[in-house]
Amino acid sequence: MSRWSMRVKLAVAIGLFLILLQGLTSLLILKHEREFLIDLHSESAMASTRSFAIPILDALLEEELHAGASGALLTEAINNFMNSSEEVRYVAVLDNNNQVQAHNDLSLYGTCYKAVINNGVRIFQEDSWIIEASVPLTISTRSWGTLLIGFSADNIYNEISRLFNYLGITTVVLILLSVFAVILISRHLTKQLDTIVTTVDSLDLDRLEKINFPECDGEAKILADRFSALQRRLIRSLSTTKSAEREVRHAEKLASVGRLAAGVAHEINNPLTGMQQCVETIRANPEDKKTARRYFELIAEGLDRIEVIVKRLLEFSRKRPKGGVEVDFKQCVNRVSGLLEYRLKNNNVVIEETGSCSTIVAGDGQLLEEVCMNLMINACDAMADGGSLIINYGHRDNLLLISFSDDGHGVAKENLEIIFEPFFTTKDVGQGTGLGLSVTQSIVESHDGRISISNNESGGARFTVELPLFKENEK
Amino acid sequence: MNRKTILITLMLLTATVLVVFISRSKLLNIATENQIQTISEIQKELPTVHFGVVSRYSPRKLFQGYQPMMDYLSTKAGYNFELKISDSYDETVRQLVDGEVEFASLGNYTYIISHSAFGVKCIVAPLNIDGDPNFHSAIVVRDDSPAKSLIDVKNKSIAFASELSMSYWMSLYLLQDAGVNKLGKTAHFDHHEEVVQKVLRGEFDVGSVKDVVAQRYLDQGLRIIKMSPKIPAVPIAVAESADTKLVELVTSALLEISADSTQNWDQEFSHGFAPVDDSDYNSMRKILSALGHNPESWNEVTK
Repeated sequence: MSRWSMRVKLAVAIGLFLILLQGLTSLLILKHEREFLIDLHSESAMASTRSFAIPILDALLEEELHAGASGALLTEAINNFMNSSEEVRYVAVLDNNNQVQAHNDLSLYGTCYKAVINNGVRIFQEDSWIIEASVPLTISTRSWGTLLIGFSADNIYNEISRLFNYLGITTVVLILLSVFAVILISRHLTKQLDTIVTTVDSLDLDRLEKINFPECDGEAKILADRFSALQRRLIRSLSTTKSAEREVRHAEKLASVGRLAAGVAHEINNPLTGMQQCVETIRANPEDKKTARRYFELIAEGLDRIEVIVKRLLEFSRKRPKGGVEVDFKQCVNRVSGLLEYRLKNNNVVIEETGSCSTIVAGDGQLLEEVCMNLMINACDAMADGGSLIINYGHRDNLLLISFSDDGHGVAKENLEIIFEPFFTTKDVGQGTGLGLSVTQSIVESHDGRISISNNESGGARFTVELPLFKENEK
Repeated sequence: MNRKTILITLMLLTATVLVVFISRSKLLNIATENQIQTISEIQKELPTVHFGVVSRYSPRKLFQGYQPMMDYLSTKAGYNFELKISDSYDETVRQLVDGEVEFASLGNYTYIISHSAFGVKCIVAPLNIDGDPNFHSAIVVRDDSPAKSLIDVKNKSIAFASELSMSYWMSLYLLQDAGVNKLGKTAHFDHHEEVVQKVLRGEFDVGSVKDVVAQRYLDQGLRIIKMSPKIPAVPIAVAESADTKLVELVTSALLEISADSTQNWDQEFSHGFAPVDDSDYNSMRKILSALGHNPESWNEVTK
């Protein structure tokens, strides 16, 4: 859209510029042509009028010589002149008081003109354009009045009109051709850019595969080379980031194991203590078969208990198929809560699970258990004096929404925005790595999900995890 | 393209269309062209004095040559001098005698006759280029004519000026004096210029005109074969009952004329004026008498 817009903008800008330029040029040409035509016809009108003034003056002199003459000579001269050209609209001979002495229109005899040009032309419009030329009828300084001749100037009007239309059409055609040319040229110029953009779009950052840019020239080649260099740096950087991410996850896992260790040790220590006492008792009185049998059963129970704990640990650390497999998130929660049983009990934390919807998602079970582990350990840590951790399951669209709400002290408002940042922690030194939530966010997002945090109105924090539900056709 | 760009583009296009229509209407509208200028002719309220002139030239030429003198007199005398032409010599005399004109430039023959008939008085006469108040009559032929002297004119066709022109009578006198007693076709024309044209076109072999007119055509194929003795210059005359004060005013103004203030004036009047007296024309009276021409009344002259 934006590339097309650039092309359209270029065409519109050049089109407008051309309209302005061509319009201005056309106006200047028209103005010049108009003045030229008016001057030309005015000169011609003046020349004709001056020429006709000679016989008119002769007629006036003749009439002066023969006082009382009827003006037949003037009338005849005017009629002859009127017949000589179709362009002559009227001829008037005025005396020095602008009174009509002779006119082709006999009804105007004796009427008075308000004003006339003194030796020149004026152009005015009646039903059409008229050039009125005026020549004083004088010999030396003696004046008999003025000769006025009106010539039709329709040809000027038509010529200007024709030129206007011609220039208008030329302008439109020129602009259309120019805009078309601009579009073609810009399309040619942006074709290579389009190819580069398409190539850049095809870059898969997850696969870290280098892509090759097409052969370009000019500025496009420079751009392709820059993109290519950027791609190399990006791949290098991503590779480093992924490696660092692996290390962080490993460190966090180790930290989780460390946190588990105390609980596990205590869990194992209890049956071991019982078993040790049983062994001591049996050793003290090996003859008491009845007591020994009962104690052996207790030892067996203790061993079973230890076996369960070890099994759970093995289950947590067991490698399972990754990505895209059917995982019941609820089972992940149960497995982790089993592992954290001692810690929960020790902190007097009760887990309540609500919601009876399907909790099957597509993903990596081990990673999702790690998510549960981190969120539940965080909840335990937040509720040092006991409380309840409510795990609620729900659906929205095709998402499974799991919220972990605790009764702890909540998260300070200023920390809500930065809580998922790596190495952010509110715990004492040595109590946390500051990577737990960062890793959790990373795992959730790698499952095309998202995690958010808010504070409950009644206090405590609420982590909400959104994960796409497993679809049957993903199998 | 966002909405703003589309809006601006549409506005620009609308503005362009508007400009096109306004330009077209401006270009094809002529109503405001050329402001009308009114003629601010100030009609002079001065009293008008009419100045007649015999038809020695065409009306156009008379106005071209004499109107500047009218302007000069109007400026000098404080009257509005208006030239009044006529189509004959006797018409001018009639105008002078009837009071239609107060002054008139007459031919000297016309003056001599009208003086004796109506008591017309001469006041000034123009000077020639040499400062002399006289002129000559010239007998002219075409450059390619074989005629070298007056004797060669015998039996030739000849064009004269008006019978009321002294130039005609002087030519007759010269021919008679040279012994040319037989002529071919003869004719009279109203203006001296016409006589020259007839000769140059070959319609007449010989012509008789005033020297100033003849000299004007010397470089156009005209040749003078005889120049007459001095003839007193054509006078500016007034009626017997003319207003003395006005006559003095005009006489004084005309005598003041200098050659450098007479641009565009008729050549005959452009060198200034000298006062003349009726007795200056006696020599002409003698010539007329020698030719046996002694009209007793004006009617006899003009019949």
